[in-house]
Amino acid sequence: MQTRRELLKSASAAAAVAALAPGAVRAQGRKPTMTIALPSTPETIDPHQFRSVLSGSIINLMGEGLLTRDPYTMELKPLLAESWRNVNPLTWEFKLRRGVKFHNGEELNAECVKFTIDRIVHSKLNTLGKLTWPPAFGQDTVVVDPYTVRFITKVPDPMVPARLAAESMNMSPARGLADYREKFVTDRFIGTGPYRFVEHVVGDRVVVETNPNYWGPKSPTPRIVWQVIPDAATRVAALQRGDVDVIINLPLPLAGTVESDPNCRVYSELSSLVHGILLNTRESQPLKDRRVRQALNMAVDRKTIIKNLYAGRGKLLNTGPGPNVSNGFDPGPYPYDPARAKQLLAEAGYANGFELTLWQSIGRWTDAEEVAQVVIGYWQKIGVQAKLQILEWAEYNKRAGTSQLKDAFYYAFINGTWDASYILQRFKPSFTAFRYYDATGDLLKTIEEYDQAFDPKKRRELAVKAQQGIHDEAAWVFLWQLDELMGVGKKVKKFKMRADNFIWARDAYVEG
Amino acid sequence: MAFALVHLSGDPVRLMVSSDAPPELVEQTRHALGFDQPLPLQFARWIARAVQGDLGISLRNNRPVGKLIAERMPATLELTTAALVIAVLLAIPAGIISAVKRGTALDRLAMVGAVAGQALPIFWLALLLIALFGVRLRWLPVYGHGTLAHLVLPAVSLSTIILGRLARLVRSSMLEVLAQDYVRTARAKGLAEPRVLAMHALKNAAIPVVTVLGLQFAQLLGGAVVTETIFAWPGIGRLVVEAIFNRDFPIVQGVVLVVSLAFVVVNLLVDVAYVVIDPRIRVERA
Repeated sequence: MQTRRELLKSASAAAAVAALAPGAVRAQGRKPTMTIALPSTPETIDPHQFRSVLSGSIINLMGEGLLTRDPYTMELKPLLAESWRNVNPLTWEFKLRRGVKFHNGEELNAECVKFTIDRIVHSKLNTLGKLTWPPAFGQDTVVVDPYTVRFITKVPDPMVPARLAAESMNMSPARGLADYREKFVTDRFIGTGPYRFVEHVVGDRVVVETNPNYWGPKSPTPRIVWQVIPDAATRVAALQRGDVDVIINLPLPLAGTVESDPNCRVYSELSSLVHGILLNTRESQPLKDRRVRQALNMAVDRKTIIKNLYAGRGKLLNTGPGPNVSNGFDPGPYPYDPARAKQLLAEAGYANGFELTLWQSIGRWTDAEEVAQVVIGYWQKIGVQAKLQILEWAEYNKRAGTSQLKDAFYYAFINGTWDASYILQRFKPSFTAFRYYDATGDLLKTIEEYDQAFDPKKRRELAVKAQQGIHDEAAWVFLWQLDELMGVGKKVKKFKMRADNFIWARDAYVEG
Repeated sequence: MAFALVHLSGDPVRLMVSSDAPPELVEQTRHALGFDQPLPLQFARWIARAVQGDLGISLRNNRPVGKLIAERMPATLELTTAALVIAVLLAIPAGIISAVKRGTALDRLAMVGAVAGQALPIFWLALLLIALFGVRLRWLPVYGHGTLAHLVLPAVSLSTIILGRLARLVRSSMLEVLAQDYVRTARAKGLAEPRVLAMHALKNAAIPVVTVLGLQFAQLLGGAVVTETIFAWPGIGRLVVEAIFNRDFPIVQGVVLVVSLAFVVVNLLVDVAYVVIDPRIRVERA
């Protein structure tokens, strides 16, 4: 004899079965489509060309690398590689997962890995991978057997697994993209990922749907639409109406509107961008003195700035790399202490202060001009007369990258390999871009040793020492990491922005 | 001129490569794109290709510019045409009524409305419309393209750019025509007032209105840039805005060229329309 509850259960199960076929997902109470609104057009759907984390987030639904990072812990995890080992300091060996098929039916094998790495590193193409794994390592990909591949470098590189986990290292089919070794793909995406490409209407949307032959766990949402809505107010209105489920890039002034709507919430995550004021210690006389640089750090009340300009949504940065990256370390802040700062200036022979130029770009970072003015105000209090110079972004970035900006300028760096070395390498005199502070002596030796250390414990020790050194040297005026704000519908579950700013949409779904 | 301006405005290569790219990569990219050539040479090459219908390749997404513009043009034409139709349908009755009821409260109301519409910043009006009809009343979608419902808010917002001026123009040329002898004659013949207004007055008042409509087309295209951005309307206005931000020269140049051509064609059509409206206007045969 069935109880009423059991009857109801079997009835609803029957209903669910009846609703199967197209409505299978609906039966589980989930929306078949999730729409994510973007502020700007994703610049590309080529697996290796993208620059922005937005394009990368779309691409990482369709493409996969040998390794990945856990969306919650950022730990390295196997993906298309099952295992890897360091054969000797110049050789890494990777065993591939078997039976993985690309969206075009081609099987993933060692040839595809070789094709991919050659396309990224050794082609004429301007790829992002050339930054995460510079050709200067002289890497060669050797096919050992169909499921084993070795990477041989000219320089010892303990970072190879981390570099291969970067989102710019998506595996591509050797046959399917054979004609595209030297040119970018604009009209298709052939990867191994849980989603496959449906369409890209430039300036309007990118649509992906689940890959029925995916080798791994199925994603819960059958279709994801990335919709471009340039205007922030319109994005918020679309979210409030429920036309879109997630909006990327929610400006602070609109956060209140989202918060007060019963159907939406503000989603925030600390951004991986590290903000600082770089100091040209190679050309500016006063800035060559470490005490002056420390004084400039102590003069600025960063907590007050974060509280008042950014509504408290941010964390202090106290050395080059952020503390949340691999081998990152927080040496603790310089105190806000104008009196001590003045004293340091006097010790350095600048009791009456000095003049300098602070460069800033507008349209790139939130409230950039305001920050620059506030910093100038703080510096004035210790006698440093700073003059603000503002440049349009492209020109600013050109001068900044080619080490042409005198005195001080504002900048924010991403971390392409999610390791402290991504920032620390910039302080080596051999690094060609952004040369403003050259590490010397013991600090330089530590950074160089770190670049080539394989033992995890040794790496940690060296990284801590190097980051402490950069802090003590006050190579920059260290500022902050800010929160990245988004709006999401209350019915959206398991939506995640990874700590490196990649949007992890593959596990997300919307309750129907 | 547009060519010189966009090239002076900044370095696209710097925006294409990552912000921390080494100088070698930057130079390599610059050379591959031909941006290390002298500007006049780059211009000559562009013109030579443009006359053959090849507008180049977008720097940012590697697609042919001609194809990008062709994909986006219909949406812009749809929006501007809808705005034009709304403006004409509202402006002509409003202009006629205020001309006929000159000096009355109705006239003043219509003209205050016209001036206000002309003075209202379009982005502000658009946001008000979104807040009211999109979020509060939930009648109309706030972004995108496809159905008639999607067209309403952007077209109404855009139409206000020309609506006010058009209504005032209809009013003043109607006033002028209504004072003419032939209108008095028509009335004296005993024709019904609507027939006098439609056949005798409006037809003669139409010439300046049509001229201005042709010129206003350029304003509509300008307004479309703002409207398309706010309503995420996938037209050429947004295409060019994004291209300008990214220093995507080929797109900017291509759009400037196509829009200029469109403007010339529209004004040609206006000249042709004169003949239809007023048979007295004919080109003299030599």
